[in-house]
Amino acid sequence: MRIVNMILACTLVGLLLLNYGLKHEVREMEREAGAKARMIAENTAALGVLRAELSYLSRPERLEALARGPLGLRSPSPEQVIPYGEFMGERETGQ
Amino acid sequence: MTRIGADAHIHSAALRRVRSGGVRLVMAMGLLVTCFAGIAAQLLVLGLAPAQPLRIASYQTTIEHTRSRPDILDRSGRLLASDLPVYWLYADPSRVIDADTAAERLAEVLPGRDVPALRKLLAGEGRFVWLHRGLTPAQAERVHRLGLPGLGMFLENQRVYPAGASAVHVLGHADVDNRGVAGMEAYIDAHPEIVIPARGDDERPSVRLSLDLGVQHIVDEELRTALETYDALAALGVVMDVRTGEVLALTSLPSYDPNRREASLLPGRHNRLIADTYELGSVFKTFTVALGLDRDIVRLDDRYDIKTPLDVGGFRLADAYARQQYATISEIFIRSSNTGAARLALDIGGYWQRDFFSRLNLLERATSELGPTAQPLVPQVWREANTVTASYGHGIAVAPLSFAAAAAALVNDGRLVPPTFLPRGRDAADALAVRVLKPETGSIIVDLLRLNVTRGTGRRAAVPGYRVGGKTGTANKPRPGGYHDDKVLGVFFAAFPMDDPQYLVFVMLDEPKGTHETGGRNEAAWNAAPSAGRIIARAAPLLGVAPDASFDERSAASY
Repeated sequence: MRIVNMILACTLVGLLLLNYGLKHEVREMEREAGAKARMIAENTAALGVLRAELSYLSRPERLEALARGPLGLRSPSPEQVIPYGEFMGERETGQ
Repeated sequence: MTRIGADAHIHSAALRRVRSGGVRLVMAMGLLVTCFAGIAAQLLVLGLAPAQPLRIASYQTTIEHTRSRPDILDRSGRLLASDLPVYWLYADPSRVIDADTAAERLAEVLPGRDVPALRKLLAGEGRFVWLHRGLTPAQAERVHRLGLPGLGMFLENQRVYPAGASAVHVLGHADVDNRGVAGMEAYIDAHPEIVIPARGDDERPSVRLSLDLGVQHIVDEELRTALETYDALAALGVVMDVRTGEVLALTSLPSYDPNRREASLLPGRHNRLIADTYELGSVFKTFTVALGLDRDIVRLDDRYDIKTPLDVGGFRLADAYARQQYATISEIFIRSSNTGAARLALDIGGYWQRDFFSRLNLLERATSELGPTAQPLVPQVWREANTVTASYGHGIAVAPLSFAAAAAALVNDGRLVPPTFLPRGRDAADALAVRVLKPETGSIIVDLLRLNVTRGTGRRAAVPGYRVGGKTGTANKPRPGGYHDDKVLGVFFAAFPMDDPQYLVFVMLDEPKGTHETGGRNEAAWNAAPSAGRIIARAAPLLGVAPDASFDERSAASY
């Protein structure tokens, strides 16, 4: 009877230690998951900031100023605009 | 002492020693068991207790106060509005140790804050004061590094509008708590079902509008140029898909930057296309002619006297520049004859004129996602004089957006489609469309509008190749007891391409002045019409309308 009790006690302690170890591992993994979730959240936020910056930098007002200023471009005249299909047709017929 | 007595004494002493050793052993065992039981209990607690999340007291990293709003995109997916994470800095003055030093150090970090104001806040009596809302992550880090006690930060959302003032009157803006308070921002809060959910972690929920940012920019810029060139009080513009009612661009100048929403409170920054009503003048002649043709009252070659003044309702109406006694309906339209339109309206009759305006939704508030338009100013009793003045757009004041939608019906085979700021397909538009004119009448009106740009008052709106048609309107502004002689509204509505009208452009200038280039003239033909032409010249390629020079030659030969 004493041996059985000893075995049960040892098993209990072993299981407790195993449970503790597992819990510790889970916590470690939770910490890692939390860090990764934070990283994702930070990157998502950074992505939002970058998208907003991209939109700010590519707003038509700014692009037009760059096109008309340093690049010296101007709006196309109607004679310079032809439908894409017409353009491809001319290319294919070698005109 | 006997031997027996001595043995008994020894045995008794040994027994006491054994007994006391046993007690010590039991005590040691008890201690050990208690220790191990404590360790086991702690193991149990550690093993079974749920994990507690970590919290940082002064640097909150989750957004808890402001709501998250969806991105707003234009019809091509270009970003018009989004949320950015910013920090809100607060202080608990009771925990601030040295308010003077804290104020001086904070003033070096916080943008636009001076030391005295900060000192007053930090030395106050309360337990909570806002120091700054909207710190960037970099600024927040600098504040954090100051290590000042009594400060704290919340991470919150702030609405940003990367395109600035462009389309501000459609987008509206959000308040400091990120709630929509105007425009589509308010509509989104009231109709969350229009939000498209995010498809992944790297996406945000979004709402797509019917606006085209490129076209919007063109309208903004051309109207800003017109506002300056003609020294006008205000400039309005709309570009609309006549088939679907989708608004592609809407501008009301002066405007404001929604990133500085307090500017919306400045006088005159409201959306005049919806919140104001105007007597739009001769553009209404298009309705008069359309109704006369639709009801078979007249044909295009029927003539009216335009030289003899018309006396009605106690006032005399005369065309100042009438060059001939009689003019056909086409001539009345392209020369914008008031007496001709008035005589036609009298033949049609006030009842039918009012009925037509009602069917065009010009007599009631029109609704869109931006809310109802201002209540039109309409005569309570429709007398002959009202029929006459309404025929050329006076005595009836409507919101410009309502007019644009009604004008679009004239070039959409006579079908009225309510305007929208959300994408709408052809099928959905067809289901909503209400017929207000026969298709053949619509076809004649398209020809007349084209004729007006090739030979009439709209010549300065012509753009080679893009087949523009339109009608001018120069309306004297009302004043108490009459109309100003020198203050006018310059109005022009155009449609293109007129071989198959797809888009409507509406331009209105409030009190445009004559310039050296216009020879001092301030009529719409000299300001609103060329402005609309410039918008079309730049926007047509973006809208996929290809120029067709041969149409100009064909149409010139046919008229």
